[in-house]
Amino acid sequence: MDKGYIEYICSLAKLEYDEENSDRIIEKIKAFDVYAEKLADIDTNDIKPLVNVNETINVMREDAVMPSLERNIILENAPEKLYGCIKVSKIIE
Amino acid sequence: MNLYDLTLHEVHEKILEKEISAKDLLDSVFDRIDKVEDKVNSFITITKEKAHEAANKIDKKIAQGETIGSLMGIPMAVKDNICTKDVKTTCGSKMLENFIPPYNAEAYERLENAGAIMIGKTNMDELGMGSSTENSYYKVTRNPWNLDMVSGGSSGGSAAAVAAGEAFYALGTDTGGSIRQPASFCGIVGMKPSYGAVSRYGAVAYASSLEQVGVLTKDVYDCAIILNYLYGHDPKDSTSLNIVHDNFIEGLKKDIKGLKIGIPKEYYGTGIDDEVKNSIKTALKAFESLGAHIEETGLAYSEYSLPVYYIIALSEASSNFARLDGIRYGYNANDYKDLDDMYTKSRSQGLGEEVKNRILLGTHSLIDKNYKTHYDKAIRVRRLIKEDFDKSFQKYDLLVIPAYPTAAFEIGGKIKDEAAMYMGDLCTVPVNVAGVPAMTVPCGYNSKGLPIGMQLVGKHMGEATILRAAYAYENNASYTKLKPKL
Amino acid sequence: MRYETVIGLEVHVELSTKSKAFCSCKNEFGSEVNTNCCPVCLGYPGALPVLNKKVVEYAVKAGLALNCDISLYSKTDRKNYFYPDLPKAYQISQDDMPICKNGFIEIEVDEEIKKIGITRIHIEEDAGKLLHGAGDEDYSLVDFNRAGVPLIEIVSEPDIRSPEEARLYLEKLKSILEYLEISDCKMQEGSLRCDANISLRPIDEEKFGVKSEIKNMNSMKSLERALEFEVKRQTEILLQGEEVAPETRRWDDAKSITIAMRAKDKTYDYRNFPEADLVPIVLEPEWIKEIKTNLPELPDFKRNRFVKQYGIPKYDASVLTLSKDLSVFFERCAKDYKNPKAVSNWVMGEVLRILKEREQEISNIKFPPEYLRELIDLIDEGLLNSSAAKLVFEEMFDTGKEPKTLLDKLGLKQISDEDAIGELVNEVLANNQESVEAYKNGKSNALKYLVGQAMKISKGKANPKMINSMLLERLED
Ligand SMILES: [Zn+2]
Repeated sequence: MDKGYIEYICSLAKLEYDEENSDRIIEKIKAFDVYAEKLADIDTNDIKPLVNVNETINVMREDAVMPSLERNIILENAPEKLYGCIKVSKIIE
Repeated sequence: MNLYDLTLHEVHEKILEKEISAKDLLDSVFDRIDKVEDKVNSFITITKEKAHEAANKIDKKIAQGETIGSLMGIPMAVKDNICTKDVKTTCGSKMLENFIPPYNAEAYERLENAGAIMIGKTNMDELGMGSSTENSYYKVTRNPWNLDMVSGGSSGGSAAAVAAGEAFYALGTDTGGSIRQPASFCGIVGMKPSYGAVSRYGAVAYASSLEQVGVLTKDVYDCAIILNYLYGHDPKDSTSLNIVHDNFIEGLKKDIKGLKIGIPKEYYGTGIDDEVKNSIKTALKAFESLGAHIEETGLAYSEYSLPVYYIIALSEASSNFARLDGIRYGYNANDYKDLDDMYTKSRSQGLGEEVKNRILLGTHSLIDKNYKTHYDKAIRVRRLIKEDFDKSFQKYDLLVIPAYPTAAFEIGGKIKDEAAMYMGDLCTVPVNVAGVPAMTVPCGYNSKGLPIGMQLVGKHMGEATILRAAYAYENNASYTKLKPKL
Repeated sequence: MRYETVIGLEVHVELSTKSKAFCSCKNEFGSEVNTNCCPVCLGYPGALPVLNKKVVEYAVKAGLALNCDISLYSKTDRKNYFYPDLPKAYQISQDDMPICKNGFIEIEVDEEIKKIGITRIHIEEDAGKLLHGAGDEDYSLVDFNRAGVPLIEIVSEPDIRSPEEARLYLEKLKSILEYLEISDCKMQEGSLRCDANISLRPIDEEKFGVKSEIKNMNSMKSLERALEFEVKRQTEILLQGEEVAPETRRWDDAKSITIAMRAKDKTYDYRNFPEADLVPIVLEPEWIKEIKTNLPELPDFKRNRFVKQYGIPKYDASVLTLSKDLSVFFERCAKDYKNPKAVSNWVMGEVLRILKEREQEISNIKFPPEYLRELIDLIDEGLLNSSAAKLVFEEMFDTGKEPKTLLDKLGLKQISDEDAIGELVNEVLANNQESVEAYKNGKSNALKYLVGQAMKISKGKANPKMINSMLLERLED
């Protein structure tokens, strides 16, 4: 757990890495890990994961088309737009 | 008595009797807002014009003899992370300062369709992350009972608005106590429904598997009225349950003789304020006198609820809030040099400190090398916690626990006592982990005159029992109900 | 040192459902930009996905047709990464529990059947489309119409041993998916996309070599060419004693080379975890059985049936059944017809030739298959000779009109009238005394010459059989 690691997770989360702040974040993560460590007490090898408490299955819809949004509404919310599209920084592929 | 001081069902009676119009109610509420909003700061956006238009329409309908539903023409407020069509929905964040959803959240839409009049969007901790509504980009909401105190959070604006008489009821969301804790701080009723009972569509997701939209009301009866509208299947939300729910009014007035109430000891340990303990003790006596059986019990896995909750909530949050990138909507930094810079600047400038920290912790919990010990471990232990609750509900109809270890704390002040801080999370969080319903009911005041609340926790889809018990208690409580002096 | 090529393919197939995978927006190629979008597929806050039932059905169909085990329990996961075409900053996909596993495709290499394993098939959603200007603009544009369109990703085992095998695998896969009618499978439009992992290893070595991932191959031909280029490139590197770099490379069709895009040394951490906004997919064995029973006839079965039923060579049957539309076309022509081989020759010859020449699809052909049979009938009846028939065919292809009508219109009708033929024969006999003498002196091929002369005078319209027999009659007199 070092500054390089903080920089790494910042890059994954697309958040600015702040060198000065990184010690504080390291402390937070360490405390969090101590917290998580508590769960190691419990043997969960035979326990199935539980994501949705209701464990419902097979919620699906019929393949039917409904109206989409008007394009001008989509563009009104977009900070940058051009030619009916949403504009972003140049992407080099 | 001012109109704004009445409950939802009381003003409904008056509308029904044609004593007052929707406009009268709106005028009363806006008068009240004019007087107190500067002190309390419940709202981020007030939609006065829209509300008047809606009230006009309702008054016309009533004049034309349309059947008057329980919500028709009655002013209410909506937490600002619940999408409202054509009305700014900021989530208390700079990131969404100008976001205008082209759709309504299903929960709100059901109320609107029933004639509810929205008067504004309430303040909250940014994106639901916080428990004091101090962590809003816009303002700090103050506690109507004492303006130096916090209103709780993250639905602090909703709780304060209802307590201050600015709205008859308000929608909130509860990921880990965000309805129940502010309701307790502000001396009102707050319900976190069973997971899957109320549609999450249009409620800005923080932790998808933990949260529900719920309601904050002036009393239990009002809560039952709103739940009747909110509950029920929504095909737009895959986690919404397709089952028929009870009519919550019908069973409300039945007695509670023979009701079995469990008191899990883990929730009454060190850190819980004596005044809180005593208030609940008194309340339990009231339950007993109404014929309920009280018994001490235990929820062995409770202590694991906190790490499980935080790992799941922050993991899901790191993914749910990744969409806030300032491309299709929201804050865009503008002065970027390349694609990566565009993302990083927009997100770093648009999101607050607490949110960023939590996103980093969530990201940390999900990366390959931590997945097994963090996220995967948490969702397995989650099953044990849920089973713990299930077992308990085979024996008991309800569990009673504190809504929070203390009454409202001071603005700017942190809880110094670590045990109290720990207990603060413990009181509310396990309920979300287990997905069961829980309601905060006011049960007295502390020596400083601040409200104290207790929680009635029911089995999954056991809201009717919670409401029945809460209603019985509310009508037989031994303390004198007060109103905040503003 | 000799090397063996090892290839595995990852194929993304856009499913041709009416609506998108998780919302009710239209799933349509070529709509005006950003007109098929809603809060769900734009990743607006609070919007939630709901799975399209058809997507599951189509994925199971694909799995069954590709000999997979169908998972009775599968779930969706979030694959997290930032990109402007990915609205939610995660792709809903399936990580550790794909809907189908352990399948295979059979291809024919050097007249032998070879099985290519299929590791898995999973359901996921497509991303939007990035539009880049041709000039030096400092921006890119995003069209979200494609965002949320359902995909299945079909991952093969590294069982493919040559660029040709790779093409055969993809052709077969495309063919099967077309038969199932679950995708348009148009590589040009991107509804079928193929990435390849390719590495070399010394022959007899078990361990795989370092692989490159090749992207941007937009046709069957470019897949084969790109892989051929890679084999050459990697061989040269290895022969020089160097190591192949683990990287993603892009095929440049115009330059016919692959170009390094990015290094693959650090794998990106996608933080896959269960999608809590959706619930698991649990399939009933009965339902799977029902789908299996109702699967259409697939290319291999059809090929074998064509050989048996129509008595055409296996090669013909393979070509005719690779495309579903072509096989249907053939069968409508050949059904109850006495000479299916003639039909096969026409379809594989003229029909495919003209389609290629005009850059058209069989599905868009203007005339019904029955017209081709009428055309062949006309030849059999002696009303049309084969060169004239080709002219009629071309006209039929362009106009969609019946061959009989065209025959009259083009004045190509064969002369079979006895008097007219008689006159022709008389004329030829009168003008070619030398040949007549030669024939009478035993030179039998003089007859051929005389027939040719008659055909020439009639501008090819005379019935050669009648001329032949009438000439013989007179010469024998
Ligand atoms: Zn959509």
